[in-house]
Amino acid sequence: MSKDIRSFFKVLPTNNKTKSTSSNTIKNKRPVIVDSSDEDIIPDTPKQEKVANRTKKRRLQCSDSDNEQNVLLKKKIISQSKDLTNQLRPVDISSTFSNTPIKQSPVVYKPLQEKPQEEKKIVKRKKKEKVNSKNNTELGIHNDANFEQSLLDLDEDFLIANVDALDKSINDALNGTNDKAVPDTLIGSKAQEIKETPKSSTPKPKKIEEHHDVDPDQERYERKIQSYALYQKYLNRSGPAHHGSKEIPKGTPDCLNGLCFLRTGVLDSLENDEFVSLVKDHGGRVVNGVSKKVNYVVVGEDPGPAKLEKAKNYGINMLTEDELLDLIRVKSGLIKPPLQENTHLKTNSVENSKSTDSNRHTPLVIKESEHSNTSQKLTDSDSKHKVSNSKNEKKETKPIFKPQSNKTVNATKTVEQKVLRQEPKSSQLLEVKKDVYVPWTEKHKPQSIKSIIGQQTEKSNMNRLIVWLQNWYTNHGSKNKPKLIKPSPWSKNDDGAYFKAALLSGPPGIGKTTTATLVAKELGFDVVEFNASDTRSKKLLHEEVSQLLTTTSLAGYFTGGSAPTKKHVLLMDEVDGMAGNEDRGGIQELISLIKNSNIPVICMCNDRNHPKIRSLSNYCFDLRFSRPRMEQIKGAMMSVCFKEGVKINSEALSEIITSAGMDVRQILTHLSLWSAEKETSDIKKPKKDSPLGPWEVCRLVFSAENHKTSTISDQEKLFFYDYSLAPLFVHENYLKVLPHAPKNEHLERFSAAANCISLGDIVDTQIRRNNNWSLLNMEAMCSSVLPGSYLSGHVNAQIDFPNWLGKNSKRGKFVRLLGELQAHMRTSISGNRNELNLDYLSSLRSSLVNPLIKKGAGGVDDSVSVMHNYNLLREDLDSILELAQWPKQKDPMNMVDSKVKAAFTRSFNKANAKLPYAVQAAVTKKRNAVNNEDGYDLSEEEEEEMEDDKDISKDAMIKTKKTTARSTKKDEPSTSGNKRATKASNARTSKKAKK
Amino acid sequence: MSLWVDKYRPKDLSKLDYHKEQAENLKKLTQRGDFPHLLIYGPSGAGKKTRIMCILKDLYGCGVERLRMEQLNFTTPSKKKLEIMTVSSNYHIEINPSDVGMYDRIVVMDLIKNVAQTQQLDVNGQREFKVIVLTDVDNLTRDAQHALRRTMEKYITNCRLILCANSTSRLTPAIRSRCLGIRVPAPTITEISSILQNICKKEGLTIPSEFAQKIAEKSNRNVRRAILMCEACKVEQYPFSVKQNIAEPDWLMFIRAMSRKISQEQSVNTLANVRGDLYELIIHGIPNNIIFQTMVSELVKNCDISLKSEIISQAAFFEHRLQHGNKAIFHFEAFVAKFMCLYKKFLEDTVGDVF
Repeated sequence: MSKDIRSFFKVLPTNNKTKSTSSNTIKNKRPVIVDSSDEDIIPDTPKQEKVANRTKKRRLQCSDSDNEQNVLLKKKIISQSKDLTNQLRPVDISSTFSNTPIKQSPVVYKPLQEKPQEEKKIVKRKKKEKVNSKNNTELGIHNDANFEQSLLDLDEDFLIANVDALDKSINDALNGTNDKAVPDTLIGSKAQEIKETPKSSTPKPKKIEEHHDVDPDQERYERKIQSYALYQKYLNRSGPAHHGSKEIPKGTPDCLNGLCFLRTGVLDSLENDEFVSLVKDHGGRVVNGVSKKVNYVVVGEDPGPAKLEKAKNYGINMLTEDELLDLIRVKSGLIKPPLQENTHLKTNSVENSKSTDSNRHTPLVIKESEHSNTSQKLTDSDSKHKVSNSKNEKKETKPIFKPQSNKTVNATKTVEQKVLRQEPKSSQLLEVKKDVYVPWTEKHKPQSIKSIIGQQTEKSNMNRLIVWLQNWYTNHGSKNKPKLIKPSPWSKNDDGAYFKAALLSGPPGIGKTTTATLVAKELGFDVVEFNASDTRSKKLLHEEVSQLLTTTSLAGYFTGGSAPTKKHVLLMDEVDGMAGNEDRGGIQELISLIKNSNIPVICMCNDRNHPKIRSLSNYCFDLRFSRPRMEQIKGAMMSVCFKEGVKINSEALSEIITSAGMDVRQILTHLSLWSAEKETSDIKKPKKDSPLGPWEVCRLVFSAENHKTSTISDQEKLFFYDYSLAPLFVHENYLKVLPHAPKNEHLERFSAAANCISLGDIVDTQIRRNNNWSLLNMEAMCSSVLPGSYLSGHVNAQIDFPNWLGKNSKRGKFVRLLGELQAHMRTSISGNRNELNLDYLSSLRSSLVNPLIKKGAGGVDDSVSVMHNYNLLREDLDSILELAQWPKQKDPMNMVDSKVKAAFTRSFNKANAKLPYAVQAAVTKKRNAVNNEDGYDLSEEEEEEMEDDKDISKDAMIKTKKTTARSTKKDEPSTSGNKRATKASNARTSKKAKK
Repeated sequence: MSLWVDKYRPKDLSKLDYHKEQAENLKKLTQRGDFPHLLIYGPSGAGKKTRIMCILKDLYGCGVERLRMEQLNFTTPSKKKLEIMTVSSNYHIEINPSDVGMYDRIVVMDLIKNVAQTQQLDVNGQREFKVIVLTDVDNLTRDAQHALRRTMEKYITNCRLILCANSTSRLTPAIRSRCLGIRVPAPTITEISSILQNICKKEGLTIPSEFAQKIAEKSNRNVRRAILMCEACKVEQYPFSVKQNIAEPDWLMFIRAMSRKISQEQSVNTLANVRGDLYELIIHGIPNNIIFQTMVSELVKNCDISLKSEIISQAAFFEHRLQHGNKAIFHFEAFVAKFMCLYKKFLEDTVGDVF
């Protein structure tokens, strides 16, 4: 508060700028609210008014000549273009006042001689101006000197009236700039109407202005008084003049994100607290001190001069309260037209450029003023003109704003036009640069269904979805809906009319969610989305969603003014993520929701074949999204690159696309990285690092071409893609390699490779037996790298999945059967498992089967007696046959007549010999389980919907198995010898048991 | 109607057909009423099991022939549930701990210890100890053998162990020193042929001594196999003729066919083909060492002596690897590839020498 009045003048230029923004707001046709500023208030007294009027009238008469002279003078002194001076004038004023306080003294004394004349003239001029104020814009150009002159004249007069008039003129000059909204003409009348303003402060600054050149002591004293006065004013200042009169916009909570505000002065309608909460509610920040971090200074009535000055120095944008409110509206998108948004931003940028301009020019201007000051001394008349001019200028600051604001409007318009021209290129970008960085994936998200990649054809999933959604209410909404049949899953041209839900499935990053949201938007549906970030357990879905599905949406009522609509769509995103404890039972609930839904449901998932999704897909219109083709992506990506100004050659782009696996989102991320990299370093070749499957790995292991380029560690890496499967793959397929070597070496090479593979197996055993994982590199060498290098060539056949796994499990089964067999025969034979296998099996088989072959039904008794002697079960015969069967051998059982077989089984069952061991239920159970697996799989889906709880289902399963095991035993005597029949009956009983 | 091999199994020590001196000694041992732990070892088909049953019968009388089978369950420390089938009479229990694979230590610790700790209920019975028969002891893991060794010492008053193994090489010296080792060698060919003739006489058949001799030779001095082969021949053709074809086990034929394939053509295609055959053998549970033995003996048949030694050393090398490794097929294949390589080189050299 210790600043002198000069600080008031300094504000001028910045205020002019805010004026220009305000001109926009005026253009927006918002109601213009008159600020109650000092100037409006001061001319209470009729006297003042009279004087003002008189002076204006007078000035009107002589203004023409004066102006002309001034113009000439200016032209003489400063060889500068007119528009420049026009723009810079406010700075001119402030600089003259602030930088050259001493130089005023000569100006002060000179006019002393001619004061009466001058005074009259000025009064005249003022009067004149008053009349012409509206159209006489030219006058305003020179009012600097005029003002000074008038100031001095009045100083000499000692007339209170004059003093008051001066005061008024000062305030005019000062506050006119602050008071953007008030047109010139309003001042007089308005001033009369408004009378509540504090008067105490006004005379004091004027006094200082009068005397502060006279002597330093007094000046200091005056300054003290002045600061005191300012403080008094600060204490006494009124609250907001029109408190609560304005509509406070309710913007989005983050529209002012990252912006920092500073308030100075009393706002028109907001209390300080209200202001702070307003800004904070919208994500902004309010500070108390001016710093470079502050983005906007909100200027109210009686702004702090220090703050304003600092803000000006930092080039911070000034806002009025209205502008702040507008800013909120614009940022939160409440004011829709993008043009406005742009203009706003533009004006900001224009302001910035202007301020920088003015900064750049200030030294020049100062020079000018110095020049003018020195030149002032040349002639009396000249100086007189000058002074009067300066006075004029002061007085006419207000008129200046009109042309200036017009100018800025013009400027903004031209910028706008430019921007409009640019808009197709980067309208969004411009905005983005101002604000936070937006990832490309968000920035270039398709805005309409037309721009979704790869969905533009007639039969595309998107169009099918549109048709489905359009017809949904006709198909399901009304009571008299058409009778719909479930289409076969293979029919191609189904429009999904039967289904109440759609299931979009496909790999990530190809636009499933985008398609769904945009289609819903396009058809005017409101979207309710649940994704994996929401808990979607059975309970929650039931409570929240099911209620939601029956209500009507009010969204239209709030935004578009349309009636409340029932048109909304439930978007269940990432349904395959509905797993774990959190979302227990979610899928089942979703299915039941779909069954009873009154609105369309769109589900999305990645893996359509996931067991959980399988049950859901029965109730959904199945839309499978496949990856878009290279050309489709490429076109879109090219345009994105163009928009972003990234230059990328076609091959590199294709490589990025393939390496990302046609995942559009991934491609965009890569591209943005590319663009960032390009700025720093040279363009690197995009390096593919896509995961390989074991099949490709296996091919690469033996590929001679790969060996040329890759190092040993690269080859070793191939092994580590899957170190448990890699040795098996290599072993399975190494014999298919055609090594690039002379033919006579082939066998040696294969032998060496086989040797290495065998060594690799030993290493593997050591690793797994002793947990010695440090040997893994060794295994990589033995099992993958060395065979690869011995057999460097190419694989000229299909890469097979390792047979070893299947063979090993089959071996396990045979060993198990052998063990059972041996256990059953244990009391009657002396051999162990291997001896049984090697010696007994074939003899046993022949002694069992040969009587049946040779004697037919007569041999049944012989066979049965053998069975009983060795304590064999009927199943053991089958395992004997299976174990003794070698490839390229006939199964002797096939030679047995089926009737004989049946007779054999019958008589065997009838005999029902006592066995020395308990019949193992476990074994039969296992077998039945294996047999039933297929049937169980089929009924699985039905079950899933029936059973709510998983644990129950498990229990049921166990029960089922038990019953089947029992039923098998029961069935055995009754069924004929054909085992298949038994199996079938098992399956039947098991199904019964389930139900 | 059982097979001859089980029908005519001797059930008494005095009725054994060969190693009569040994049988005498065993009889003396049992008659004394007490004996140390026994380790009976010998090749497959030499009559180890038969001798054990004879000893038991001598000890306890006919009661040991009333056998029952029991399924015993126990859980490992890692909560894995295991089942093992035991054959037992009132006086003895027969267990094959290697049935449960690597968990045999648990069997030894739990089961055997349990049995050994309990005393005979019938104090007035013939003996105050039970007998535990452990078969396939050479498949016992090292842990199980260590567990066994303390049990053998501690509970010697309550029980005797009879261990049955093919070879002592895989038993720890500690076990070996605690037992009385009784080797049951394979019978000679003449012994086998006389056995065959005895059986045929009992069956009321006539068998030419040459034919019996032939079968005995084919059986690889394995009595069991010899008798089974004889019966198979009888089923095929009776009366016997000397020139009659003796049916060999299928797996043997299979390995022979495979070996022929390898000798005929040495190429990658054959190798791939042989892989399928090897898989088949492995699936059928033919022991790896038998596959190796049979294959090598077939392969070296028409080889030069220098090549023979080379091939046999290679076979030994890969068989050793197979013992340490996990996936038998890898090693078999490596051996076959190596053989092909050597054999082809040998052929080329000899052909080159000719010209």
